[in-house]
Amino acid sequence: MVGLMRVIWFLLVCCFAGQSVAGEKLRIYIDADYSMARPAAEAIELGVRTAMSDVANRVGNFEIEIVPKDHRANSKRSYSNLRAFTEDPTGIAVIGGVHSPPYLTHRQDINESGIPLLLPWSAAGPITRPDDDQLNWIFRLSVDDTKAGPFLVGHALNNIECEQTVLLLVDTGWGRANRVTMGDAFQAAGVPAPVVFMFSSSLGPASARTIAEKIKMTNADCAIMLSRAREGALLVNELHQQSADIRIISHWGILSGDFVAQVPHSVRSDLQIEVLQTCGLEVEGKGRAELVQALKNASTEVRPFKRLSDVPAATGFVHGYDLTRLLIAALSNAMEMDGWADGSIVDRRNLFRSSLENLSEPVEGILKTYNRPFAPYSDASQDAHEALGLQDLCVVSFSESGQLVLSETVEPHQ
Amino acid sequence: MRKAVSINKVFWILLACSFAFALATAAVAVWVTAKPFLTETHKRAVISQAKQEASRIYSVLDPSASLTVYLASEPSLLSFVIGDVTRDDAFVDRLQDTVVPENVSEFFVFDFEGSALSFHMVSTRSHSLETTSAAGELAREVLETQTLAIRTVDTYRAVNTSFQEILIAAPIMNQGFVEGVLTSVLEVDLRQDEVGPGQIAMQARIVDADDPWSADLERQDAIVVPVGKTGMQLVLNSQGTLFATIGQELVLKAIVAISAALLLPFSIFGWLGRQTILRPHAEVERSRNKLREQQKELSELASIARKAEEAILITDLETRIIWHNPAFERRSGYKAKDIIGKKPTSLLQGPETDPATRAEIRKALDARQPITVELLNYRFGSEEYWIRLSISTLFDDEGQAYGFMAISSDITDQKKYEKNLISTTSAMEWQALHDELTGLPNRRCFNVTFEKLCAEKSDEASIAIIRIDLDHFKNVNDTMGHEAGDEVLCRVAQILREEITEHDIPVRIGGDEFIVLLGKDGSLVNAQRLANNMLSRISEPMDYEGKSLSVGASFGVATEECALVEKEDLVRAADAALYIAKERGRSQVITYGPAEHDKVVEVRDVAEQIRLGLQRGEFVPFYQPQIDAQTLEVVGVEVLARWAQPNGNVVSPAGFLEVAEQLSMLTTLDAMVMNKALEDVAELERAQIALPKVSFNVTASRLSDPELLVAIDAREFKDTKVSFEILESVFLDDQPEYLDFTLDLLREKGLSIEIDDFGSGHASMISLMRVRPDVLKIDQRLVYGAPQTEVCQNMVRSIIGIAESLQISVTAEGVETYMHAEMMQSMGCQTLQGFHFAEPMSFEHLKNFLSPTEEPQRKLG
Repeated sequence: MVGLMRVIWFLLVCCFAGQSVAGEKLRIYIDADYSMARPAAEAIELGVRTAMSDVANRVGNFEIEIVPKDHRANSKRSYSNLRAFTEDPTGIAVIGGVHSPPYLTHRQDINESGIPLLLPWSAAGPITRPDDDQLNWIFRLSVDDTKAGPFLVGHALNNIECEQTVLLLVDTGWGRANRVTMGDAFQAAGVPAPVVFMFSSSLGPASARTIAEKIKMTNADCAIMLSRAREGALLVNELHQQSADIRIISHWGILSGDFVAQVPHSVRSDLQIEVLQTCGLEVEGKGRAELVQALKNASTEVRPFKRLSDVPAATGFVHGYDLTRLLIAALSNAMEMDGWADGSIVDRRNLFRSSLENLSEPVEGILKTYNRPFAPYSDASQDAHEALGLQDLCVVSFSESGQLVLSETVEPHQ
Repeated sequence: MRKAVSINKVFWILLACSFAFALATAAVAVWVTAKPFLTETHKRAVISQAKQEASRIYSVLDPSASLTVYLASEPSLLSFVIGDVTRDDAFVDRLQDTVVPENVSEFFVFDFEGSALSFHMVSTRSHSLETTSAAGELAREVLETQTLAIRTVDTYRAVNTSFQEILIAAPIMNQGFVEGVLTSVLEVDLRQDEVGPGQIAMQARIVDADDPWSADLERQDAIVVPVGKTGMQLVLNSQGTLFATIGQELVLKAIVAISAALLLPFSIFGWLGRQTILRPHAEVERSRNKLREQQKELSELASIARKAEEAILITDLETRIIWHNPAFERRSGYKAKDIIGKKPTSLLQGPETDPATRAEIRKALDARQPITVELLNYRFGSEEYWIRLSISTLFDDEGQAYGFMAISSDITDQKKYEKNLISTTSAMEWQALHDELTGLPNRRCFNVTFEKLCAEKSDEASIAIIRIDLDHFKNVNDTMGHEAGDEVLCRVAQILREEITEHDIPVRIGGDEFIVLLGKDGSLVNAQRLANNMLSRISEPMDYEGKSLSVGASFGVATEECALVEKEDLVRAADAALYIAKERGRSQVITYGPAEHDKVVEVRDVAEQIRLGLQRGEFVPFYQPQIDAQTLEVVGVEVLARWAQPNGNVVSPAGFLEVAEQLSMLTTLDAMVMNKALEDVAELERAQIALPKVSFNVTASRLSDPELLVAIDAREFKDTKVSFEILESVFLDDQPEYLDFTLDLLREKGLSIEIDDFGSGHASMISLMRVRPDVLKIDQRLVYGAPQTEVCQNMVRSIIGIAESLQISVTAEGVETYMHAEMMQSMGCQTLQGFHFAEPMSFEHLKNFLSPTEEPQRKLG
């Protein structure tokens, strides 16, 4: 009788437990610009889904559902998406899109609302560095502008030996932040402050032409450009149209869209356009197994990826993949923490955030093996939520076919 | 008459009803026949008007829509909408640099969700909550459709306002994607222009094309026209209302037009009806009424005639009697049967009937003229009686004479009375114009005759007046009795009658005064001769009852020949001459010559100046101080009249007193001087200048003048005592009895009485005791003479003695020298007055004289 009771109890437990395990779902939101920077958004999503497919879309006993949200480069839409996430009892994390402005604008709200935001491709430095001792909920696996800006300045001054450089920056929080950091870099290098051209995020051909004319009049030989693909394309085309004898060193923002399609090879070649990148191509060159496996998993019959350059906006794919790997690791750890099982979604998000900051085991990614990529944030450790560093930056250029190739002018890890 | 009026009314009422009926019929006909056509025309006109209005509204909306689209594409707005920047300052700056149509009042900015991010007012108008709500809804619609949308704020649909708010929402695009909406709010003025003649006032609303309400409106036959390409419609008020308005206007105009058209024919018809129907009818009615009234009048007249006291006869043109009243029978004594068909002349007139009057009557009858005469008739041919006869011709309606009417009243008694009256009146008239005693014409007769003579203008004859006044005639009456006086007067009258010619008129004008008016030969020589003759004869002794009577006469002669005065003034001139004759010792003839004329003129001039002086208030008081003989202080002033002429001369009483008295202006003059003096003294008191007493010279007769007491009672000072100086003549025994009463009254009022010029001869001790004056003023003639003659000194001493015995104070007048002053003081005079101390002075000088600072040192020497 006692045995029978035990059997019944066991079955009930298993039944309910099984029901619980089989029924629980966690959602990961992707808040990206699927409209104007569709390639980047899709690349990120591909990276995320590829990483998730590695674990059969399950972490622990939870089915992971990917929920793509288009913010159209509109900070308010992004915020709307984030609000939708907060109201979702299954939403565990948000993977942000390619643009920095939405998160720069709403950084404080994100931290106050406790939204675990993972950014695979956003460069603005302040995003992961909250003010006023706020709990930091934003993590990044991308090039940080506090690193990228000085890196680009150093590249311009030291590698390609620009004599007169102008800054061509989009007039958003991202551009304005870089203006400061790059200005500091020039000052640190003992070079006079460069001429700065700010342009609107809704830049049109006429304004682009005017800016190009003004740049030409400065007789600059280099321009460091921070732009999204559309505006960047407009500007370089106009610069080329003006027959400006200038070289372009661009932040990777232009790779978020179909820059190559809008800028002919002649222009890219004449202007010797170089783009800041993480060192995915170098990794590919070294034949890293994780990359090979990821490309394989991402490929379909219709769309096979043999090389990383086959992937549109490959940076998004690489960073999305690596960040998702970290997410899975952290989520797994969190699920094992006390309070997870009975915790609310808020509690679970908090455990997840804590787990991200305390990944003790190395996590293999495409770019590298991440050893404790994040740590609790404090004023003393400003890079605590940065998974990549200066050593992960490379400069690439475009091949005639438009594929990114390692630039010959620079060595990585400079 | 009443019937005529009612027919008149009926005619005009029928005419008015016909007019109204014609009008109504025509209006209905117009309405029935013209309504479809006019309605259609009006409808087209309204639609045309509506299209114009829609076009105007579109012209307002279109630029606003374009502007909204343009502003929606502003990059800075996009940056704001997508959150790149937190504030839309750049857009606001852009907005401020943009010329915004005046209809646009504000802009709303919505984000991708349709939430309002900001709004910006560009005018003073503010929007309603409904507008905000509608703008939000429209923004969400535009976010969905991604196209420009224009909508009304339909909450206003039910509001009867001339303005309507319209929303224009344009998508804010970011690279082909709608990220927000810019909505402009504008206000469209639907007010109609002033409605002109023939136009219809319309109420318009703008509705959205897809608004179900507009479909309803269409079913209600409202006029709906599209507003350009906005997808909106302009709806005008329902045709039901519209056409009701059209109908009313149509009928109204039709009535007005038809009224105007029918007015002329109906006016002509009315005029013709009045001429051909009403007027003849009225004439007939008037004739009937007149006949009735005439019959009534005749009936009444016949009744009156029968009862009348006057005898009434009606004859034919041959004067044969055809009707008479009973009074005629009573008067004439004939019965009806005796007189019908006979002529009154044969019945009533007799031998004494005045043939001239009869002829006059015949003449009037022939001329058919009315006549009134007094005629002697005979009763039964023997008994006379007088009648007043009035005969009138009787005319028929066509003006033809058909007879006469004679009305007579008996005036026999009146005739007798008149006859007696004439005889009586003649005697009375003679008496009225003649002096009963002497039989001479009297003053009345003289006045009439003289005026008549003066009125006649004759170059040949000249007039002269001899004025005669008997001398000492009173003595004859007093000594010989009035019969003797009457005898004297009759004899003088006889002398006058005998001396004059038939052209001269002797007149007794009263008492012992006579005038002889020389009407034909009034030469100076003739008049003087006649006067001398009469003087000579009158001066002769007269025998009366054995005693000899003797009277003289004074003659004043004035002639027109001398040409010194006008004719009318000859009597006054003769009076003046007579006055001079009496002055010169009587019993003489004085002719009014140039010397006499000059004297008269002089007196007259002075009199005129005095009169003017009184009018101008030129008579002023002068003051002569009175000094205490012991202390030499001023104890009073005597008020003396002075004539301050405009040329600066100051005339003393000697220059005007006599003439003023003759002219009876002395009372007025005294009152004027006294009133001014009272005012002066009041002024002194106000100026706190002490004056113990003021004395006025007052005649005894004036003492009884009530105005004098009134003036004294009304004085505005109290410290200065008022004193009246009365001439010694008040002591005459024949002074009126009320004098004592008056003096007592004055004393009760606090006034003192002084006897002026005492010692000049009239006073008696008894009278002095009766009057009991406060002061005796010694006649200055005694004072003048005192230093030289002992008599005067004795007189003064006597007066002072009398005064002392009666306890009366004494004032010496005429103290002109030191000797006078010393003597009067030593004799016991208490008060001194005279040039030695001060001459009479004006008020201004008096003020200085009395002023403590100006007071001179007075000494006897």
